[in-house]
Amino acid sequence: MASVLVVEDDQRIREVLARGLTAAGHVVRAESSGGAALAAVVDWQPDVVVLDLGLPDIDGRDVLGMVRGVSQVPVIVATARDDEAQIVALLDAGADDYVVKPYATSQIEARIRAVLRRGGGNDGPAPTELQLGHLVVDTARRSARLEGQDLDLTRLEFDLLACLARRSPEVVTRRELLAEVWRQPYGGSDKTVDVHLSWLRRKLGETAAAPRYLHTIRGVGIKLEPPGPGPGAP
Amino acid sequence: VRRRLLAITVAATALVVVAFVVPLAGLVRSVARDRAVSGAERDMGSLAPVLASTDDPATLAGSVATTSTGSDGRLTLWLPDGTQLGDATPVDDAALALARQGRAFSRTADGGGLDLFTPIVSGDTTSVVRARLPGSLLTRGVTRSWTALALVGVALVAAAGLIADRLGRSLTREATALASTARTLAAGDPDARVAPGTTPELGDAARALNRLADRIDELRAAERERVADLSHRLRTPLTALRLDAEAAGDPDLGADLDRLEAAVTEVIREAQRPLHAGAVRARADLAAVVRERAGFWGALADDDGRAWELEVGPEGEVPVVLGEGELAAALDAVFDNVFHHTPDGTAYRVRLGLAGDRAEVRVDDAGPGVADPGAMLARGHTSDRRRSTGLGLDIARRATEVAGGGIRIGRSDLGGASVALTFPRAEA
Repeated sequence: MASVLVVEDDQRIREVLARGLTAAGHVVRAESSGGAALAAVVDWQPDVVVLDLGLPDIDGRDVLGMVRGVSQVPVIVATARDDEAQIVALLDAGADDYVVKPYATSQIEARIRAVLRRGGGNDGPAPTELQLGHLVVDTARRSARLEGQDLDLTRLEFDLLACLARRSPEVVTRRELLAEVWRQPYGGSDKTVDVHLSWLRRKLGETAAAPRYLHTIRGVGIKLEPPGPGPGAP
Repeated sequence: VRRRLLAITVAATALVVVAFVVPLAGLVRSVARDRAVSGAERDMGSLAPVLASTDDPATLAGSVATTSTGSDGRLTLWLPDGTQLGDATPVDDAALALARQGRAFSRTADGGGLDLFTPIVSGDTTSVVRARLPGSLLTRGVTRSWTALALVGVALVAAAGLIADRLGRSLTREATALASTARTLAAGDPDARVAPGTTPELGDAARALNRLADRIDELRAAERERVADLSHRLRTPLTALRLDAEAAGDPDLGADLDRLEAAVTEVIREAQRPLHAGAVRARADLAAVVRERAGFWGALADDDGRAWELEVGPEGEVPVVLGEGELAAALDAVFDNVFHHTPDGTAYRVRLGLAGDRAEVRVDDAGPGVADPGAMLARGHTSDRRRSTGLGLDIARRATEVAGGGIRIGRSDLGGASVALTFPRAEA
């Protein structure tokens, strides 16, 4: 588990989020202003910072720049804006990841796990190449191969596959996929996930009726699991 | 403008040149003729003192030969006794008789020439002198002068054309730069500005365009701030609600919150949309987007065991005044609606057709149909609040309305619902 600095000016959000992350096993320190957050980054040296942009004393973007000046700590920005230009500007300014308000604690947790995996976190560097049977997902290169052949995936298809691969063999709910891949709790309907899964299945050379890697667990979600050794398998 | 200015200048200069050159050309010819005639008259007159002093034919023949006209063999002297000295060209008796009566005259000769007759009275006797002026002598130097005049005229017209072209180029350069900057601004580059030129009117227009661009910048910045503020003010309390609902663990509350969040997002997106659908608005090819989105959803249809078909009637592009992204989102909402509200295995059909100046995309399904079509278009209406925000068809309705079209829900010939999106066709 990680030490998490939550910087949020809204008291209600700050308290509930801190409670939720603590319940999830993290060590949490919550600050309500940019100045206090900078001091905490230097003094406390957290593993990850969850930074709200709308702070009362210093603009969150400036806080991000100042944090980057003194530390390489992963920063997850919580923003109320979801336009692409704003997101790109934040990532360019040094944010490691972002989450769009309104978010759920589970989303923040997922982002924390993701940035810690990328940065190594407490458990050492995370593998960038995930192998499931004959399927290899390289998250650093954003490429995937099946039986040695490169898969031609769209951005969302790759993110979907990478998300399922990282959590394999867990069953991931559609809501979780919407939160992790589409970044919003309501980022689309369940059918948005389904249609992308259908395309992913096509590209993996399988169908919903005859799955090999992507398995739908009716009423629960989806899991990515390599096919077991069949009678003809080596 | 440049070509027109050039044509006007060349035409005006050519008229001025013609107005001056034509009389000048006539004057040149007249001067050449007068010069030849006066030279001949001078030579003819020079014989009078000689005739007064002698009547010796040999002396007189010598005098004739010493004149310029005589040395050319064009001067004849008839003595009173009829002796002809100098030029031996015959003359008709009538002319000679007329001259002997004391009349000086000229008459046109063959080949455009001129014969001058002058009587010289010496005492009571009259001699006659004739000078022949051939046509070539009367027009000597005229062709050269006319050529020079023509060259000067052409040079003047060419110079005027050149100057007009340079002036026109400077004018059109400024106007072209102005138009190009306006187009760049319209294409979405907020940094485009134009340097005011030297033409006062165009310079004024350029400064006005730059001020307009600055104003657009200010408005965009204000709009960004307004939307950012709106997002923050709406989404921050929603975050608190979301976290509370999560802690409470009530799925119905969570579903209601999903719908509220979706509605808030739609409000924010609406605030970002332009108020007017003008020419600047993006266009999309409806046929291409329908094919693409139908193919996209077809993958899920195949997985769900749904038979589906796509019929695109018109050949070629069907442009509509709506951005490709918004158009795709509207179609996705309709497809999503079919997949949400009909069981797996239900067939559907997508048709794109043209009716006059409108294009219609119709999605028919073989599902249970719609009991209350009007309610389906109402914002937030859903029959399954845990799985749908109820905003899908409302999004499709708003998109079609922005494009100047509309949405209709009815019963399809397949037995289920029929959703038709209509769009006015934009000019290609």
